[in-house]
Amino acid sequence: MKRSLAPMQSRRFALFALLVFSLLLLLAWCAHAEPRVQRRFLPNRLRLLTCPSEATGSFALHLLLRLPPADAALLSVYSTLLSDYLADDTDPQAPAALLHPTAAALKRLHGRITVFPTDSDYFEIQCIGPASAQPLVEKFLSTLFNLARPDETYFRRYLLQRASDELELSLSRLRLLSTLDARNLLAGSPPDPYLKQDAFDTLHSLSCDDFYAFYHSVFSADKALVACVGTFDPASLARTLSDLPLRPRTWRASLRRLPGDFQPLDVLSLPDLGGAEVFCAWRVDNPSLDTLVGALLLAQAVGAEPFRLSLTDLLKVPVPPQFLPILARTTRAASLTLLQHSLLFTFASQSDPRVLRESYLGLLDSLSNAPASYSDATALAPLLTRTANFQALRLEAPADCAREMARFEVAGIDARNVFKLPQALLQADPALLADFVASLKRNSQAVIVCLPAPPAD
Amino acid sequence: MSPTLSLRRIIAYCLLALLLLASTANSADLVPSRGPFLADLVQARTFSSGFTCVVDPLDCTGVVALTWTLQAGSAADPADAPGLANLVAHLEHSRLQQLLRQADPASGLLGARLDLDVSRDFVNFTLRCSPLFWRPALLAFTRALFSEAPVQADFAQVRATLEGQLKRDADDPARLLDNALYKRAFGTHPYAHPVAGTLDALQKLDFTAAKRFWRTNYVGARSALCLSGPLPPSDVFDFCKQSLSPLLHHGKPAPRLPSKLEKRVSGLEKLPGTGSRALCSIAFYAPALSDPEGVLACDTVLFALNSRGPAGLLHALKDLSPLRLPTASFLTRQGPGLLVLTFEVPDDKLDQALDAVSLCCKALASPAADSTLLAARDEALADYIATTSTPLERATGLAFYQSKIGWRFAVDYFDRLAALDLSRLSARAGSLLDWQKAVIEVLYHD
Repeated sequence: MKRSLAPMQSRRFALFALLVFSLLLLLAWCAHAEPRVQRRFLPNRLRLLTCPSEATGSFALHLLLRLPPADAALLSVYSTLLSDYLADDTDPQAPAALLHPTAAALKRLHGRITVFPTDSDYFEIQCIGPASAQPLVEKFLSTLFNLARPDETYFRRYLLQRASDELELSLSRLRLLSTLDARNLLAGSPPDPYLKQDAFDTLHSLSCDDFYAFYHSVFSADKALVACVGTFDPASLARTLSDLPLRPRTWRASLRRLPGDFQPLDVLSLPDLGGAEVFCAWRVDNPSLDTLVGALLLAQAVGAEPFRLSLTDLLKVPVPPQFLPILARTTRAASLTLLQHSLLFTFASQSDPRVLRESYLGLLDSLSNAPASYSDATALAPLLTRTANFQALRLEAPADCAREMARFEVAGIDARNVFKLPQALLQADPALLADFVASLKRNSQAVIVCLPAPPAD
Repeated sequence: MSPTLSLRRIIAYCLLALLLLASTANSADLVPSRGPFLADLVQARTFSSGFTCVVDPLDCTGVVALTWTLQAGSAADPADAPGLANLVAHLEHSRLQQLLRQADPASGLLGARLDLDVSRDFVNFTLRCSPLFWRPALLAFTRALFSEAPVQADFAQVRATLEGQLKRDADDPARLLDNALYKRAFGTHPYAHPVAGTLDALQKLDFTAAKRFWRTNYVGARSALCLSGPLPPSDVFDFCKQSLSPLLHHGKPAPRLPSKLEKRVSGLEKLPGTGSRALCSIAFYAPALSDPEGVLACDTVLFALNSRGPAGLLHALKDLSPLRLPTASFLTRQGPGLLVLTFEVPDDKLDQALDAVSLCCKALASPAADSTLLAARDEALADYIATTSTPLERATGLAFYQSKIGWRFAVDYFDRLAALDLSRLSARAGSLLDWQKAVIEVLYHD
């Protein structure tokens, strides 16, 4: 009897131990409240990033579609057309009309669908809603990827006309113009004073087939990256996304690209202006978490008040004294844009173009003469704390987290680093900042553009 | 023939039933299935120094929101010093902002964001920062708020800023109308005077009174801490016990505000002023939080009035050239509430507008309005989820109810509203929107 009971007891004990162990694991998991990002590659080559949580009753889904490599002005034309194609709620016969009942149902739940402005090299759509809206959002995505070809009349009379009006508005904005200029310069095209005309020529030479080929190529599972954060069913989402079509054919611009005649450091200057917008950009390829940490620290240092203190005292960059008064008076901002496998670091300022041009050239020179490492950790400590908080505040709503996860991933930085970034900033080796400055110094694709300042309100 | 026909009928009925079921399922899908909080996840504990800490472990965000809520809103103003609570709150806010600018990096306050909200019932200070810094930031934040008395050096500057604000408000018709409405509707109740006080009273306030107010009201027994973000509740409670509780003086609990008014008023009053624009506020007395069902019914009526459909104010006034978007507002209070409808029309259209709004209110009280009120209730549910997603919204949402009736109301709000007795809604709307009892204020201006 004893013999026969012993294995059963030991089995029971093993089962009991297993149960206790599982409970402990569960408790440990529950106690750890940090966001958990998971990444999956679906069979149709779609990349899915999830951060599920039971704590909130809503979710945000961010869809990022990578655009094919092309001239910035060209992409801006195609993206504008694409936005109009998806957002047309005036014509019940339009292919995108199928999207509207779903969007309207989501709106009734106080959810929303946002098509992001496209001045980058990807196209973004975000869906936000309560947990019960997941089937609606899944239906929306399935419809979005399977829209019919617009007919020729609709394309000519509505889409082209509307896109033309929007380009007229958007390309007259100096910021966008400077962005496109800088993108083109960084991509190897020469600075083109006829950029706006190029965009219009491109638009009017497009055919409906060209446009639909572009849509087909972009709305393909292999170009898509989906980040979903909040309360939702990951299995159901993965099933829906797995059914999205894979169209691996790559769209190519049918238009000829201008040959590159590119100078390492190009300055477009418009003399005799009362004020100017100065746009300074560097493109850094294949960024890592360390690159991002360095870039964020520099961006914060540049944006911090006063400018000269942040550079001279914190970064120990010997800015030539004649530039200090000018830089101290300048309104400026530094920003980072995550692009496909790269990062665009920009300074933008408004001031007198003649002095600013000189001061920025001087600043670049100063950066190139900067010491190889910034070892003064004490001086950097306030900057690290401020930057860590700044970065955390960018991740407030689940929708912000979903957007950042998608953008990290497209830049080639593991999306799981989104929530780890403040910690990485806080523990940053001061050398990372030095490395980043050195990478800017080495980077031959820097550009400075001076444009007339926008009129005062 | 007949068996075949009946079979067809049966099939037709089955198909019809299926269709009906499908349509019910569709409409059911459009009602959110759960609220933004789960009762099991939100935890609270009260500490020896008298304050309660509520933790909402929101694990899908990169930021924490820390809200100290104090029952030290303008209802706590001494009778002869309206605006004192607001002044003290701004004194504290100014000092906290200085702390944020000049803080030691180790405190984690550099780059954190501070918000202040002063209302009749409470004062909320909210700090948002990285989860990495919640301990040092909360310690520095709490010490500055509760252990260090207001500084005299800041007093004159803060008072001057508030004076400037009151002078600007004196030219704002909407503010004038609102102040007059509260004064008339609340009579001797502490809600009667404006949160910011009056210019005369503010100029008479001195630093000693401010310090005395701080000492009485900025205490554990009148405070609660609400946190939302990726934080384990047990860690927060341990920290509160060991590091925060010793910083707070227990003090006396805040006196309960009268939940009923000594006297209710009604009827139309025209404020002094001339002009071609008639700005009008119509107020109905609404239940206090001691009647939760009544408050939820009032929230539902609010959504019906603000809807774009035929039951809404916008529809009622659309043919009368409204000069600003008509709105309804209702803020839940510890004491009696007010549901206020505000609109602006050309002066010669005021009577017609009042008739139109009166009809709109009557229509909501009729049994035919049941479907409208049901839709409004569903919209209120959806709105609650949509506006309770970030740590800031969640922490301040918990704090909002903690100061009035307890944080649990925020957590249960969705389920209570979803379970509201819809058969009694139109009757409740009728007693709430009783035109004979409306308090109406009109201001003519240009």
